[in-house]
Amino acid sequence: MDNLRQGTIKEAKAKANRQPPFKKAAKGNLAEKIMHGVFLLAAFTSIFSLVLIVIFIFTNGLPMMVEYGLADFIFGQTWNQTTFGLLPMILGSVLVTLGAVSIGVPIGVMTAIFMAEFCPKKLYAFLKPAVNLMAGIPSIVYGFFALRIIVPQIRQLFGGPGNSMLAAIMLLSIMILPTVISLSESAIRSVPRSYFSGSVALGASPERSIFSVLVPAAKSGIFSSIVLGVGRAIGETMAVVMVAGNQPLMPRGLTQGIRTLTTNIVMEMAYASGQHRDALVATGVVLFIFIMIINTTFLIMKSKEAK
Amino acid sequence: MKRNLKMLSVIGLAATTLIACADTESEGAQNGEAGGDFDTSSNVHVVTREMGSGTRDAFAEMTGLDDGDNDLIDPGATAQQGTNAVNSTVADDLYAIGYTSIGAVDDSLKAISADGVDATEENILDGDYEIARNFNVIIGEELSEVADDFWTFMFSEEGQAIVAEVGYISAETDAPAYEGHDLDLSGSIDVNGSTSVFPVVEAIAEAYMEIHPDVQIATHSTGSGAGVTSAIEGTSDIGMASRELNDDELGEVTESRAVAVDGIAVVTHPDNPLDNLTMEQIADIFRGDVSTWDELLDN
Repeated sequence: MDNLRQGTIKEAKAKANRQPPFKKAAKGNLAEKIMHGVFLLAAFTSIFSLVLIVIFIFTNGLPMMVEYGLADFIFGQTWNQTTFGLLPMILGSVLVTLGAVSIGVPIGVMTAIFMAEFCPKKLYAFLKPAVNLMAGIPSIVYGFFALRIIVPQIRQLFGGPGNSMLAAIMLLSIMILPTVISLSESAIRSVPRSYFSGSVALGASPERSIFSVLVPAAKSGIFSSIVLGVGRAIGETMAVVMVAGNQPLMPRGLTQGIRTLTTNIVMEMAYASGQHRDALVATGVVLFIFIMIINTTFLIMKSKEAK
Repeated sequence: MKRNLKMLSVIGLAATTLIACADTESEGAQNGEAGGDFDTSSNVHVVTREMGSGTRDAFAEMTGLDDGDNDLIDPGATAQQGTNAVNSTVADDLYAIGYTSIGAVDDSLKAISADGVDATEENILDGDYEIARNFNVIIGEELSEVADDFWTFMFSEEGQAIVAEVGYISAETDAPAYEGHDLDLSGSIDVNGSTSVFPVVEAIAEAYMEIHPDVQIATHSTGSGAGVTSAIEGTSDIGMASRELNDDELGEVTESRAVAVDGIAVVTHPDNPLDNLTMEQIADIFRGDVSTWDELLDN
């Protein structure tokens, strides 16, 4: 296969050399045309599954939301087997995510600055694979770690059941670190070196150059890393369900339990039927809208960066 | 040089992991020691199963916390998904109280007696221990030949012996011996439902597949609700439910029969000084009316 492909490329190149108008060369080559179709098909497969998911979620969720009353569903404060008010879970997701970002982002960005600029080579050889490894650890393992380490500590320090908003926040702030660190680091590294040397040449210390020139120049890249971190935090499920306490109540404080949108779905999906099940799919709709907002923000950031 | 560095980093990672493990162990020991001085002014941490769970429904029904479509269990109680999650949450927290299947109680938990009756097999069979329920298996439509034989096996002497082996109580005391050893059966059976009934039926299914190697039994733990639905809709041959079926459901199934009996034990951390609760106290705790442990320990 590889040989064939290389052969095709060589042939195409040879043809292109003989006949400068490239389009004509591609037209004449059947293999190239077929491969073009294959790639197109691959692209369509992923788009197709996305479209299917959107159709499934919205056709199952929207009718329930309309039937139940959109305002009652979004702003209702009670959730049980007959009443479906999603506000506690919406607030839960938003608060947990905000908390995780406010702890995880400063640590992550500072780690990224350290890794890009200050880190000794020997330490970097250890740090970089370690961060990559963090990204690869399955979320259920993070959850188990938090359940056995973070939750008992919170219980001892602050009292209360331990399974709490604080536990979820601390867990998620660790889980978003790899995303924030690797994206921020590459953003900082992609700033042209001349910015740094120019700033040093003007008499600024290296530290000042980094914080006043390099980091601001990498601003949009760092912001997109934060946005992706938010996406990771809001979408995390299996780890959060183990430590959050999962009470479907309005947030009552850091050391009390909370339920997020994702955990609401996973907690009850197995048993739900009828309108209850539709309400869980509708929870997915709300979650989907959140993720769309986050991704749109990310796209806007990216296009700004490109400019 | 570079390879050395990589080696070093791997060793470093391994060392960190080991240290982390050692830490957990010492912490576990500390938690155990702390059990000696139980602070009665501490809040009761109520742990419950998630909404819709068969164990939760059965528990609510038997403690009088059942109220039509919704139960009265405190929505502020920590909700955990699955028997294991409840067990480990209670086992980790000195001040927690939860409820779990008696078959799943081990040394990490302490079962509390209800109205002075211990949660033991005899007491459940005698009907003295009140918080007990049937583990039901359900037929939606007609059973295939092989599924029918498996059904017979579940209620045979052999099948019921396995129920006892996995820690639950046999539903039928003098069941007939299984006679289908020589039958030449093949095919597949799909069993689906309650997470609590799952270990029982799975153990029986494994024994059955040893007798009939050509039969494949796929057991899925999806929850009582899903089990009943799939039996009615015919997506599974046999459904499992850890609660009694309601009238609507009974109208749509061919048969629902108890394969095992299970008590639900109210459990705490082993170092908790509490030994007994009245049924009223149990209801109060899970309704959320009890705030601190001294309210329970004084009497």
